[in-house]
Amino acid sequence: MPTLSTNSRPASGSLLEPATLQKISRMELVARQVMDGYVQGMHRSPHIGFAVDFAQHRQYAPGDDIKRIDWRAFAKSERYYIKQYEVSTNLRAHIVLDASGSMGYRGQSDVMSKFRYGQYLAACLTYLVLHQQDSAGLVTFDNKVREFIPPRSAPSHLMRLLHALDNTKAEKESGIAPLLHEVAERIDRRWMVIVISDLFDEAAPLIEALHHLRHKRHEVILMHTMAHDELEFPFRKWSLFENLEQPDDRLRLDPARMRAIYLENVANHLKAIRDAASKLNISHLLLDTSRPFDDALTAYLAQRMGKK
Amino acid sequence: MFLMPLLLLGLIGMSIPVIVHLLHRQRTQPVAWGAMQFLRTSPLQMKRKKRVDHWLLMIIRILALAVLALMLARPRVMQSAFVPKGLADAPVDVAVVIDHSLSTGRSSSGQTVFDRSIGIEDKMLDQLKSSDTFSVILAEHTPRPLNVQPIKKADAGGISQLRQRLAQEREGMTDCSIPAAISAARRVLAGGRNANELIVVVSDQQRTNWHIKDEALWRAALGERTTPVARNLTIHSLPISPDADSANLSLSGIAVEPKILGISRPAQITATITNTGSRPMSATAARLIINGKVLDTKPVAPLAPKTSATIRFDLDSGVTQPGSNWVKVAIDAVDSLQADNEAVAAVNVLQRLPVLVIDGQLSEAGTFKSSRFLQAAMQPLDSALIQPRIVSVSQAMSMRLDDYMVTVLNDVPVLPQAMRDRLTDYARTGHGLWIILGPRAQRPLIEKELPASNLLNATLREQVDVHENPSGVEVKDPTNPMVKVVAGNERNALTGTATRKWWGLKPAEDGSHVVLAAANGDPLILERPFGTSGGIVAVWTSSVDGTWNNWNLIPNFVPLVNETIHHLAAAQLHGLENQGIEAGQPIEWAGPARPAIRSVQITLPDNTSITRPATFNNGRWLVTYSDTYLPGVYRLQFSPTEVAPVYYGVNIDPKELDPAALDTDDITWLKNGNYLDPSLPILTEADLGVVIRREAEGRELWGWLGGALLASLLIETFLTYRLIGSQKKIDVLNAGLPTPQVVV
Repeated sequence: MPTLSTNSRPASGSLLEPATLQKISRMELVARQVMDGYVQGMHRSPHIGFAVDFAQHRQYAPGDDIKRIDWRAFAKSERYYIKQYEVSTNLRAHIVLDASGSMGYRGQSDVMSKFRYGQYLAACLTYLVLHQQDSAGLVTFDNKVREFIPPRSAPSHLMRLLHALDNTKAEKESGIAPLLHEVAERIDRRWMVIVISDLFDEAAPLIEALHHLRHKRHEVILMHTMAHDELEFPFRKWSLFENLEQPDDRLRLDPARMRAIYLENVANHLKAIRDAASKLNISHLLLDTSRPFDDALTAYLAQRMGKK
Repeated sequence: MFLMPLLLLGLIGMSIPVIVHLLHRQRTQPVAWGAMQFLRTSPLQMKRKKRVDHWLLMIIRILALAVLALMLARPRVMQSAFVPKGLADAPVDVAVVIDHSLSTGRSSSGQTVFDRSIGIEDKMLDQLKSSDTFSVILAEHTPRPLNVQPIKKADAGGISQLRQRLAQEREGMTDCSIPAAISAARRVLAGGRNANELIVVVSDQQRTNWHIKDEALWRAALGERTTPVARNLTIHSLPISPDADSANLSLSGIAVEPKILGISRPAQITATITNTGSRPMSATAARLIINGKVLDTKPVAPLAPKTSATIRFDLDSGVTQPGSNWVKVAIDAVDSLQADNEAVAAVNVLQRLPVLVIDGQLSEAGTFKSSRFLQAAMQPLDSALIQPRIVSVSQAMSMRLDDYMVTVLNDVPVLPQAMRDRLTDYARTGHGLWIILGPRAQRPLIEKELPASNLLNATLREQVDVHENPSGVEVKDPTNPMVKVVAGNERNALTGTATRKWWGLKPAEDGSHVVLAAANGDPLILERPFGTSGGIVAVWTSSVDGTWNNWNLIPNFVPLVNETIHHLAAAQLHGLENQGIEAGQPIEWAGPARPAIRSVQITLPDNTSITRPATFNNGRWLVTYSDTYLPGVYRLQFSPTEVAPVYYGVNIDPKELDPAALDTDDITWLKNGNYLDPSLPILTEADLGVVIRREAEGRELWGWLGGALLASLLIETFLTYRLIGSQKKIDVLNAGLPTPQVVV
């Protein structure tokens, strides 16, 4: 298991705190669905053929590779059978991290911004995936894809991913829905797509993008990251709200008067996404950045284990 | 128009909600924020509703502050083209102070001043509107409101009763105080609800009743007029002048002689008639009335203006009814003022004046020779007032001394201790004691016994004998009642007296008062007040039986003895003198210890009665009544009834006859002191409507504004409650918001 001491990049190492990794390393990341793949691993594959574990015999059909004919069965029955195997597939996970300006928000009582929180999450997940000999890729975006690192399973890939994560900053305006469409298009096979974002976009195009991902048969996990203040809106005094993504966009208002409206909007947004996720069989995890992210992650993994 | 325009500064308070709002806005704190979409996109309907609520709340708060400031400034709506008359006319509380003093009985244009005052009151009443109130206060010695609470003009029954009560009033008989009446009017007006108050004083402006220059009295009556609260009270004077060119006979100075009158004894009653008017008075007649019966009539000669005449009634047979009587002298004249055409006095007729003479004769047999001259002097006629009884010392021991007004110790040689003690108590309880020292008196009596009992406050020097060269007398105190009649400054009727022997006494420094002295200065008559009840001890140091002097032979011996007896009985006769008193002087009656007086019912000239308790002090029953401002006959009826009723005659206050009216300086003083309306202190009848309308300078709007304030506060409360309610609803919603959890 890689440790911080082996890491030549202290900045990257700081993303993986030992206490956090220690907790997660005891867990097993199990995909909810059986994904097809090439790397034998712990993940069950729905594909039969390139196997290690025997599954069944099938009568030979023209076109089948004659190397797969079970000659022993022919000797017994004088019929051509093809030996089929159930093989373990590798997990190919794409972590999609929102690096837009809104992710840079840090609540009054929070210890880190939403983006930092997302960075930690992404680092942990990357480590986990690679540790299990699976493949991990990374997509960071704001209003366009900033970096697209294809998934690999090599242990050295971890360093690259962490380096890319560490060099990413939250800035610029975001457009999550178009970016998810782009991701759906660029990933050609059934992958696990872990989206770490505040999902501050219109619900309708966002849901449409989720549809697109699912249409491409990707397993999608939405790690919906929001600051505690964004969930509670605790402001009381007159405030000038300055848009993190557009410096010229400002709103002067009385938060006490606005609170009810705001919270209702948030609730509606969350409900729309949650309903869509439920409908599309997408895991939706709302993360409050005021809570320890490792706790949330641990709880998530524990639940995934239970679903196995 | 505002009653308190300074309070309009409170309108600045309207800006408070806006300032608070702006201050809140200015103190905005910048927040770098990501979730702008949730602030911008919101349910429009709800947003608009909330915004409307907030703006409405702010407007309501501003309105409430504005209404409060306006209400405190007490605006009045004036009648104008835009304001209907009914809204602009403010109701007024009007009080009319009618001078009901004696002087308002003077004639004025064929009526009395008081009758004309009632006419003015009627005119004022006609000027009032239905929502105005009206009050009438009669200015008498004690101001008398005819209504306790202001009566609304609309209350026809109340107004009618008020008019009836006023119509029943006759001309006043007392003095009055205009400031006190204004004070009473203010107290009545305090019960009114209208903001404007108007007091009109209808009077003859007799100066004495206005108490000009008496700042303290006016301030006490009106309060501090400079306070804004008192600004809506306006006071005007409406004078009604009595006829200047008229004749008026005034009767005063009624006197009855003698002061102490015996039954059926000759008496003289005199009175002074003055023409106080400006025209001559024709001849008329004066009547003498005793106990309601006309006993005599005398012609009164014509009187020029400002001249006087004395009229005298001689009652040869005196007054036949014992006890207290009242006498009235009345003139049959039609003049300016009727109330001063008569004068009253009380005549007390004593049936007898009992005197006990204790003679020093040791034997009771035979006549008391030493007291023979004394008795003859006391009782020259059978019907004389003084009724002496001569007894020996031993007889006196068993007698009740209180039955006698005066006791005489006539040349007593010695006195037992018990008798001395009784005499001491007797003198202390207001009786007269006459000690005559003669040849029978023994030195121990003079040197020890009498001084020991405090009956004699002098030391015995010697018995003076100037037999060969008798001494004359020297009047030391001619004003003393004992010798006043016979030995005045100008005439000494005692000149021919020759005194041969006397007891030479030296009075103590602070002791006896020497009335009559011998040529060598030795006192012949000493006098000393005894106790606090008016008791007197008189000491004659020479005899009255002719052995030591010839006093008994001089013609003035009888009046000397009588005057001495009357003087010594003065304390017992206190309050029974034959005289009339002036209005305001107290009635003071004193009576003997027996019978005990339980109470006294005093019947006033207006036939009302007051019951008063009698007080007992130093062996005498005392009754005092000082509220004698109503002239006429006062009757004291005692309980028990065995004490005969006593009359007192009270005459009008001479101040009320003073014709001086307020002058320009007086009006200026009243105006400058703000006691009368500075802009229009003096009214005429024609000004009444103007004054009343001027007072109705608009209707006060505080009632409406108060309603508006209440309504705005209710709306504010409702809106605030609704906002708080919605805030609570938000919290509930917030509690139900999704918290970090896993949804699969």
